[in-house]
Amino acid sequence: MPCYFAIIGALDNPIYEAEFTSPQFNQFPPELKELNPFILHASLDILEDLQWQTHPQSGAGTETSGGFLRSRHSSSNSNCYLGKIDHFYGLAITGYLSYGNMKFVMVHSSNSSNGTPVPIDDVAVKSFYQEVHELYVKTLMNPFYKLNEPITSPVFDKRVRLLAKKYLAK
Amino acid sequence: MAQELPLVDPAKIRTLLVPIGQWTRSNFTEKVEALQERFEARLVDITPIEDSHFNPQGFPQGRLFFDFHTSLFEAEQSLFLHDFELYRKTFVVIGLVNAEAQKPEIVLDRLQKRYPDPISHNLLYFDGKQLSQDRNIYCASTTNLETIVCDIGRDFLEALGRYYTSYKHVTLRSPGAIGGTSITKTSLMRQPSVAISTSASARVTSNPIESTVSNSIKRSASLKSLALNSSASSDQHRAKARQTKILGNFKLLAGQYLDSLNSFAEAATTLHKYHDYIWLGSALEGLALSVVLLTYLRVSFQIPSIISAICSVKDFENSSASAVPQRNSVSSATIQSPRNSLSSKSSRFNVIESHTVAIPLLIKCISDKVLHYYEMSTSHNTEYAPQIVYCEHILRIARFMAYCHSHNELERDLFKPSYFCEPSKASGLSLNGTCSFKEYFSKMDVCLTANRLFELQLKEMNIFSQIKVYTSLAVLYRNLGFKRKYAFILRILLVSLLPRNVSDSVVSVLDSDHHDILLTLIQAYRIDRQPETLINDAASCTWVTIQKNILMLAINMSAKTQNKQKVREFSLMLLQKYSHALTRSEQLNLFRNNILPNINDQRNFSYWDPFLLRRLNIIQLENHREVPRKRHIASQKPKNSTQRHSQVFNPFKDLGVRDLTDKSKNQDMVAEFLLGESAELVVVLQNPFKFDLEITQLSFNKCDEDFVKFLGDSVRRELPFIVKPNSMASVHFPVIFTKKTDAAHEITELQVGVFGLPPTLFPIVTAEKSKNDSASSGKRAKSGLFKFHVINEQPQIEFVSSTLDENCIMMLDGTKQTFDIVLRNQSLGKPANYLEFTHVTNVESDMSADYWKKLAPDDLFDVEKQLEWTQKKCIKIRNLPKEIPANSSVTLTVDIDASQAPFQFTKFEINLMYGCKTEESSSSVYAKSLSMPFNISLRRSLEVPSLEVMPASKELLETEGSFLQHSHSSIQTLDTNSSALLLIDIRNSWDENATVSVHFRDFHSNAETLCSHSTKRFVIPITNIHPSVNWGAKEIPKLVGGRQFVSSGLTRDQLIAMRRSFWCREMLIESLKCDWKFHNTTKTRGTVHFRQFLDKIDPRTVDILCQHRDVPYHVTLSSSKAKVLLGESVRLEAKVSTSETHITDEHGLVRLEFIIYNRRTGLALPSSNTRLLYNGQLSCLTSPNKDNPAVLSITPIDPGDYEVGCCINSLYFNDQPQYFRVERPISSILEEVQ
Repeated sequence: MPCYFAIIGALDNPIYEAEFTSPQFNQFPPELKELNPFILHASLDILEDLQWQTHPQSGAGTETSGGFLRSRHSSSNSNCYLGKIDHFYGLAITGYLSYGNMKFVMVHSSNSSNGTPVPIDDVAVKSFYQEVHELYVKTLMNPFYKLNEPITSPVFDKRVRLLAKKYLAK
Repeated sequence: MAQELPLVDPAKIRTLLVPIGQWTRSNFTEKVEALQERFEARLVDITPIEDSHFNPQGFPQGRLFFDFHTSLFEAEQSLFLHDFELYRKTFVVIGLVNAEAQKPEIVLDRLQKRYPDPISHNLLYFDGKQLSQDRNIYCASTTNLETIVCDIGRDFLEALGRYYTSYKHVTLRSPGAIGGTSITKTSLMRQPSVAISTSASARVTSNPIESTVSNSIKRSASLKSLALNSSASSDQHRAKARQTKILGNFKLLAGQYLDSLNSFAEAATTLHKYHDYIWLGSALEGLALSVVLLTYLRVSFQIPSIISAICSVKDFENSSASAVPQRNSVSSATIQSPRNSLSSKSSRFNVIESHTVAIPLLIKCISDKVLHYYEMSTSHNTEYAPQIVYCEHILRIARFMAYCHSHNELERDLFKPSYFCEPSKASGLSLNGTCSFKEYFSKMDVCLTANRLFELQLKEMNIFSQIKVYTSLAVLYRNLGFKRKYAFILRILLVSLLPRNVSDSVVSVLDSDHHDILLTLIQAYRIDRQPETLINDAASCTWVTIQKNILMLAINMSAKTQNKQKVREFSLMLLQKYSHALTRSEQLNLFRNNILPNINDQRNFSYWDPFLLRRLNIIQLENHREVPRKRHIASQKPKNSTQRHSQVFNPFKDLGVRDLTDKSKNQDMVAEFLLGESAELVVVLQNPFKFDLEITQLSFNKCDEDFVKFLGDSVRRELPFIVKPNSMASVHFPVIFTKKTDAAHEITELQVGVFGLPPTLFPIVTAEKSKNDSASSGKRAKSGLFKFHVINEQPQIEFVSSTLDENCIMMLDGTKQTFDIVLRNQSLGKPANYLEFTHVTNVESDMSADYWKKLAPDDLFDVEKQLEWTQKKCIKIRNLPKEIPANSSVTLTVDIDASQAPFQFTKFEINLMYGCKTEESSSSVYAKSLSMPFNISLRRSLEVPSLEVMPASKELLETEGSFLQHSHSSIQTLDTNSSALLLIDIRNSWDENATVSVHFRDFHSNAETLCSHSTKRFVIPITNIHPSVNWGAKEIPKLVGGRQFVSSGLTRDQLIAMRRSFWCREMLIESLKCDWKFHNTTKTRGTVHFRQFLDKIDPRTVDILCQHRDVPYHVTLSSSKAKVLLGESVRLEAKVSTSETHITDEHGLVRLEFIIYNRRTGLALPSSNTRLLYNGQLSCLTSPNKDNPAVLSITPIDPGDYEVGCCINSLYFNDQPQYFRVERPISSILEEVQ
């Protein structure tokens, strides 16, 4: 299923954008392709709302450890994954928030055009986010990379696409 | 056009306000607002009426809510819904009258004819006329508005009674049946939940029943009089239930909320039973509203049993741990799916009191059911819920949830339009925690509810409904603080308006608002930032794709409304800020279609790229005369400060030439031009766009124009100038300077007109600033300037002629010459009263600046001595003038003294710096330089090829007679021990014979003739230097001070040797003189300059000249014979004495060593050899100053010449060696001969 993924910086600026499409499945229709950034941008509102929930009604599926603002003793970063945060027609939007307030957001589209919301495989999507987060942290460690600037590294892009193939292609 | 859909909408009485008479718009809206403030009428205040249904006394707590508006627009659109949702009808018309001449009765009659549909017509007079208190006619000046609203309410209630009776016998049809195919059916994108709900176990329905139901409904639609049918068929029950539901709606309007609650509950129960889903949904909606209103009025009531029948009580029970469902990606589906409503809860059909439930949750629960039933209805052909009903319900419930989120309890502003809505001031503390509404819904829940809209095909609705839905949704998001969602919805709204052939009327309605929407969008997506002026904006990156898209939308939108100015504005914004994201064709399109045609509309519109002008320079034309440079005269005095520190070595003082500091000086330099001079202006312009840039006008700024002007019509000839896409181009214009500047003048900007636009000032922008550059100013770029200085006319001096042929001169070495040069001041008005003559020879100019670094001190002295001479003595100008008056000439006499010039001297220049001092005391002057080059060829005359010194021996002094004569004493008196002979060869290299006389101190030779190309040796007896002269301690002088001390790398001994040699040579050079005169017609005379001929003095010569070196011991060596035969022995005696100057230990023994050399080879013989036999020891200890000398007896066994020397303590050697010769006895020679 085609996905549109973006990392959004503190100023609502995309520092990385990618579209994961596979040739054997549907691509994004052109009108949706244009709309994708808008949908993603709009869902940031909800992500920011969730960010400050101490006891969110959300919580990614099985996780019960609490919201993004969790106790400092917990060491796993599983609370960064916010699950499905929004939907728009047949598209589902999932979000992930890094501790540096980088928002990882993805628009999932279904193959079928019947309008049913896409079922989200929370486990796979979460793993995808976590690994991209790791890549991002590695990028941050590059002394030539400045915070909030677009990531132009082709290696980063390649690896993210590999991860997408691994976790998101179904 | 912002549509409001508060939850309580169905309880409001639609009231149309109509202006009658003469009104100004502001005046009218003011009155409308005053009425809108007083929308509420308590039933308690209303006079009772007889009608049993709507008597206000029946429920005195109730209220009438008026919804005052001024347009009927929407009513036409929703006509088919008037039966189904009664409240959509406009019930009351109020004519607001001002300055109306006609009688009130006539006006009222006209109003009734004009608006026949509403049931109550009223007139409200504002002009203060005294009127008869007629029915339906009110006067705002005599009665206060609240009372009037109550009276209107009473009239309405009466009319409503009549209206209801007429409704009683009407068959109620569903909107789908009334409107037919023109009505947009609710079309869910996802699979309708029917499939899921049918599978739900507890549902009583089954498919066969449903089909019969639908059939029967069809039939019922065709039946004319349902009520008359006596058989209690399901159709009859259904029709009755629909009537009950309508009654509920009427009661709701009339403020009888308890009654309406009951009516709705009753209707719902029946409708639920007969699966009339659409009406059931509507009844439930009314029920929910009744609950809300009762809660608002703080009236306690019982929750109807139908609620607990269809909803799970747990969902809305009032417990602090409110059961909010866990949300995850999958769970949203479960929310939408219907509860298994009628399951096991049927046993608990008991009464629930209102205070035991959480009202918001209850409302949400009911609403979920409502939506569910609406969805269920979609499978039916006619009995379906129109999409607008479905959408509006979602919006209403979302609004309600948002309201709960921001408020602690239901307040009066529940009834106000949402833009008056403010979050409740009261904090959660005011209530005892449990019933604060805030806790029930999060923003997330509101969003999820609102998102259900996106399961519908909103596109298929008519445009007015779409606008209504989108605007309400946008307002909802705005109130929640979701700026981005708000912007997103606005964008969808605009996009939905774009492609369709939306009638112009819609667009014209929108016209005033949509620019606000566009502005909101532009702010929300951060397009309003200013990268062209603010450096921070330029440095941070933004979402270009979104921004470009929005701007394109804005352009299209403005184009649709034919607002050319806005089209241009947005196109410019796009072009200016996002040119990097636009393709060539896009840029061309924007430019050609949107900007160019609209340019001429406005006068004060200027070109949009603020960095148009990139560089500006005025270049001097090459063929022009030299421009004077400013020169400080007063700087010749050394400043005190530099003197004070002269002893401190500053290694950076002389680095200026190749240094950075020098560069900055250059940058600061001001270009100088003469008055009236023409020069070339170079302007570099940039074009960052992908289309041709046309420069149509170019001129100087007003203040610059005084000083510099374009020459003739050059501008007209060069313009229009085209700058190619994505490039920088430079234009050249001839300019002329018209006025003298007092100080340096700066050009910082230029008037440039582009595309025929009126020219505007553009600053010179040299470079882009980076973010970290200097945070002080937020400016985007570094601006440059061009500094120049225009100066008055200056004197012009020219080198007219010289007495030399082609400025070349040939000289003999050692001679002097004189010649004249003529200078002329060509200027007609300006005298040259500042003159400074300098000269430079090729000897100096060929030398590198650091020539002194590698030279040894003695060489350096030589070189600098020479430089000093070329500087000070070589060329002299005799009659230096103070001033060269205007238009006159002067003659100068120049002396060249080649007596000490080196042979590499081939040319020299006389330089003149001149200028015109305005005042005598002025400290600076504009000086020009004039350079007069001359060539010189120096020919060799008399030379000194060699000089030798040898010790003088008595024999020589006595025999030779060719010595120079002492003026006072004879040579013979000289002491051989303390004198030496100086041998000088003097050669005449010239073609003529010369008379030469050599002098050395008191000695002088007779004048002798030296033939051409011949050499003569002169022998000069000289006295040795006295031993007390300690040359080794005397430093070699330095002619130039202030240099860094560089260690010469010499050892102490080497240094002493160098000093001896140096002073020795200096002594010779100082003492030797040689005059000569050629035997030619001009009697050329000159002197020999010994310095350039004399090599360094070698140590041996030094030793000869300075015999008595400083040693503590003297050894006197003597031999018994000077000549011995083989076999004879010779006796050597060495007598050691101490010198007077040194005080040594008298008794100390010294080691004396004899060293014997072969005189022929100069090599020392080894201590054991086959040539000499020693009788005694070669070394021995002896005490100085004793009578007994050290003795060595030698028997030679090999003939030869030998030299004997002594060494004391292996340090000091004797001065005078002894020689002896060993010969074979004659007898042995004879033997050999034989």
